[in-house]
Order: sequence, then C-alpha cells, then structure tokens
Amino acid sequence: MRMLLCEDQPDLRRTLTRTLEASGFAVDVAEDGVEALKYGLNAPYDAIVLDLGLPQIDGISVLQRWREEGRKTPVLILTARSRWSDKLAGFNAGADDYVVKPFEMEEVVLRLRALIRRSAGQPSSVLSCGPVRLHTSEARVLDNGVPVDLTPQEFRIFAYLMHHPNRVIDRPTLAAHIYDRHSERESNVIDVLLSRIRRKLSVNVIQTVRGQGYRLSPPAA
Amino acid sequence: MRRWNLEQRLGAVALLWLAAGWGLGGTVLALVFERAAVERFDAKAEILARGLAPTLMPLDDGRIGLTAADPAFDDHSGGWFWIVDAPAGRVVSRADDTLQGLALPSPTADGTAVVSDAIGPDGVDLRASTIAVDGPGGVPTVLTIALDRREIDREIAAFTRLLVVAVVGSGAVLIVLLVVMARVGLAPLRRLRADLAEVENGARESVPIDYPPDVRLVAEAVNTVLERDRARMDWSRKTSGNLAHALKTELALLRQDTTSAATVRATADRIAGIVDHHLARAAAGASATGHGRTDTAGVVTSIANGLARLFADRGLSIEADVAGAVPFRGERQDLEEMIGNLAENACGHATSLVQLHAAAADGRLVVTVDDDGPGLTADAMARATQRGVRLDERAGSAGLGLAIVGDLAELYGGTLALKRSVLGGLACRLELPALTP
Repeated sequence: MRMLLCEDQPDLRRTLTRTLEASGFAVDVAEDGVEALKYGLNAPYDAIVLDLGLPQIDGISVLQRWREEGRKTPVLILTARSRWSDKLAGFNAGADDYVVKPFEMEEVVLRLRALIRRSAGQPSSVLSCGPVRLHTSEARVLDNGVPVDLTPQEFRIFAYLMHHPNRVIDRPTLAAHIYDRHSERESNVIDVLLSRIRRKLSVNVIQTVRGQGYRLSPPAA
Repeated sequence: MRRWNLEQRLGAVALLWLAAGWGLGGTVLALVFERAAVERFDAKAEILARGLAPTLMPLDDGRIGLTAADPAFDDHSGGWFWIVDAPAGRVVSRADDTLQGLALPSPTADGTAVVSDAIGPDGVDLRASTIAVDGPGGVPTVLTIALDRREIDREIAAFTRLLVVAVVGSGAVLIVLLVVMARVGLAPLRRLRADLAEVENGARESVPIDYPPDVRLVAEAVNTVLERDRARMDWSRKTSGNLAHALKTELALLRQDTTSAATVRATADRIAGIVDHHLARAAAGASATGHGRTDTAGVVTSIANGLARLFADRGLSIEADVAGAVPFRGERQDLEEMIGNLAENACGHATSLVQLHAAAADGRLVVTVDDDGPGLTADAMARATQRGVRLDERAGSAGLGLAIVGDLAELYGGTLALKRSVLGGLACRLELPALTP
C-alpha cells in the first residue's frame, strides 16, 4: 500500500515517515501545499495523511482541489486544530477521518488501515481468501492460522490484492501501489515478488491472467 | 480623498439645494413675470385700438384716419403710434416714412387682435396690436396701435432687480439659519466626541447617556462595546492566569519525577488537554456575545455526519432528530463546539447507539445527547457539572469535552445538565438562548 504524507514540520514528518514505513506502507512526502496538491493529483495513493497548516496552500484548499478533480483517495487530517468548527470544515472539504495532535502513532496507523480497507469496500477488519487471512489492523497474514512471514514489499503487494479480490490487476497498477516515488521499478520485480508469496502460502490464491495481470481468488475446491 | 465632517456635509448639501432651488425658482418667476407683462402690454394696445375705432372718420383726401386720439399719440417724443389702413390708403399718427412703410400682419376675420413686433421711427422696438373694424360708411378698415416696447423692458428690469435682492437676501437668511441649525443639532455629537476622548485618555470609564434619544442609543451602544471589551480583557487575564497555573503545576510534577516514561507521557497528555481547554475557553470568551443566528439543525446534522466518519469502525448508530430545532442565538462555532464535544464524548462511550435531539422548550433551545454506554456515577455527574471546577481536577470523569461545554453554555447564559439516559448511558441536556419565531 502506498500513501502520501503531507506535513511541513520536519521532525514530525521524519517520525511519521519512519512509523508508516515500519508499518508496511510505501510513503511519499510533501512538505508544502503545492507539493501535496501535485502529488495527490498525479499518483494513485491508497491513503493520504494531510496537515491543515501547510505552507503556500493550506490543507483544506488542497483537499478541496483533490475532490474537485475527482480524486477519491481516503484522506486523514492530522492537525493541531481541535475545535469542532475546524473538524467540520475538514469533513465538509471531503476528509474521511480527523486526528488531533498530539496523537499516538499507533492510532494513526490503525485509522489509516481502516480507511484503506473501507475505501476498498471491505467492512471487516479481517480479509479472507480461502485459508489465507489478512488482519488489517495488525498487518498480519495467517495461512491456516499460521503466521506468514512476508517482506515489506511482499506484504504491500499481497495486501493490495487482498483488498481488491476477484479483480484482474495489471503490473503497472500493482507497481504504483507498492513503490514510493523514489524507488527504482524493475520490470520483473512484481513477478519475482508474487512467486515468492506463492511459495510462502499453502495454497495458490494468486492466479496469473495471461497478458492482463493477476487476480486474487480462493483456490478451486 | 478628503473626508468632510458632518457640519461640512450638511452645509454643502444645503448650499447645493439653495443654489439649485433659488436659481430655478428665480428663473421661472422672471419668465412668468415677463410673459404677464407682455400680455398686459398687448391688452393695453388692443384696448386703445378698440376704444379709438369708433372715432375713425374720413379725411379730406378720402382716406380714413383718427382725429380725436389720445394726446399721447401727438407727443413726438413718446412712443405711441396709430396706423389706419383702408382701401383709400394708409394714414399714420406721425408723418414718418418708417410708419408708412411698416409691414403689418393681416387681421383675422373674426375681429381678434393680432399682435406683432416691429421696428418703428428712430429704430424703436414696437409692439403692435392690429384689429379689423368697420370704418365710416362701413368701409373695411384695419387699425393698428403700436407702442414702444421699452415700457415692458423697464418694467421687467425693475422686477428682476427686486427678485435678485429677494433671492439673495432670503438665501443669506436661510444659510445663517442652517448654520445655526447644524451647530445646535450636531451639538450632542460634538459632546459625544469629547466624552469619547475622555474615555480614550482614561478620564472616564464610560460615556454619559444624558443625550437626546437618538444619540443616546449610540452612547449606549458605545458603552456596551466598552463593557464587552473590558469583560474580554478580564476574561483573557483570568484565562492566561489559569493556564499558567495549570501548566506550572504539571511542570512541577514533571520536575519531581522524570524517570518514568509513563509519567512523562501522562503529563504531556494532561498538558495538551489543558492547552485545548484554555484555547477553547479563550475562543469562546472572544465570541460569546449573544448575537448572531445559527442554524441548529444544520449544525447537529453536520456533527452527526462527521461523527459517523470519526467512529466509522465502531459500527455506531448515530441518530439526529432536528425536526423541532430552533435557531441558536449565538456564534455558529460555539454551538458546534458544545454539541460536537458532547456528541464525541457520547460516541466514545456508547456501545452501539447515540441520539442527538434538538428542539425548543419555553423559548429556549434544548439539545440532548444520549448514549447507551456505561454512563457516569451520580458523584461523577455532580463533579462534572460543578461550577468553577478546573479540568485537571475533573480528569477521569467525562473528560475535556464536558468541561468546555459547561463553560461555554454558562457564557451564553445557558446550562448543561447530566443525568442517566433512557438508553442506559449518559444523557447531556444543553439549554441555550434561542431565536424563536
């Protein structure tokens, strides 16, 4: 899963980036409103963390522009503005969640995972595909109840497929959701990662659709 | 751009009106007088003509003329002339080529006088009145009486002189009256300005209100603003004092025990809460004026929608009943703060259901927030609504939200009451000033 972090305060930005990456997200960073607007319009993020007090263009204006341009990416506002008038302004601009500073990093991560899950139309926090389960709030994959050890990149690609089951996803789309904007994208890495995931699971839930991409669906009985 | 004071504005407008009114009035009067003078002059010529017509008689040479006319016609220095045109030829009152050759309009068949302008002997402007009459023996004859126009011009000039004197004189009197009126009328405002200057330099705290009724309203409004400013300053002093006290208490605790990360974290949380609380109070103190009109139904609905997103993963049912809601008499953001905090608190404790209800009761707005959570003990409820209890002393009860809401409601002359909800949890009843139809 790939996300955009829009935060102008350097220390908080570094800490948040570290925490989000450690939680399995590929993270792009915007330091001001102009960057935030540009990145949010040009990349397919799974979620966005947005500070309201951004330099150059404030967060509410950035969010309004994204929504006007048809971007439906779930947005979590992270701000020191705790008054309800600010919260309502955020929701009215199109925010999906609102967290007030100071905050617990774990809470932000949990809320982001829930946002991503809900935006993919998944009501339950546990996503299933045959014997394989993804516990979204803990970012854990279990196969027949046994934890599966996935690398961050493997987890991101598998989590994306679990959030969008029974759909054919092409390679460029998968790549766009597992790499941040600075990563090198080698053409065969997706295939390699998927092969590794298949080897780690007891059943093959990821089918290759020749010439189109990949589809996650339960194994035939 | 130069800004004129009230007296200058009044003076300029009065001068403008005077100049326009007097100029237009004088011109109309002069024109009416001139017309009347000319008509009177024409009538005089016609009367003369009709009076002399019966005295027309044949002359020795066969022409028709006048022999017994007014002596004024014989005065060679005067400007009265008669001209008789008959088939036998023209006869004039004075032997003069100009009169002999004077072109006159043809008279009308019905005997009405025809007036015309002409140039007479010595270049004198004449005003002539021509009528058709039956001469001696029934001979068709035309009699013209021509009078020197300078008589009218002298009359008009005399009237114009009189008019100018009257206009200028009355204008001057009016200007003086206007100046006096402006000075007397605006005197209370000058006094108010002086009183405000005394307030500004600290000589008095408020302006006196012994003014005429309309200026008294302004003075009272000024006093209200001054009083509000003083209240805000007191509020700010008190708020900053409370904030400093609360923060220093926490910092003192921190200095005594810095070894425990849990203590540091708990203290940081409390400090954040204190800052939130005092910021909310400060913002409320700045805006709680009792003015404004806020759509209660809109606020409750927006908050219910916002909470549905904030607590999306809890599967809570958040119901809003605003059918009987009336507008709140106050600032929108304060109503949002009060209802938002109560509702957020309720969502935080609810098991599955939160109900928001807004309606009018006895001319007041009543908003209730119910939840099906564990609720508060009677003791906790009593402490949470106790006046003057600070946030840090109330920690562990209903938290920050209730403290802010209670303070805000009080600022608006409202109340916050807590009781056990029929849903099983806490019921918060907020009573506030309303704008009822």
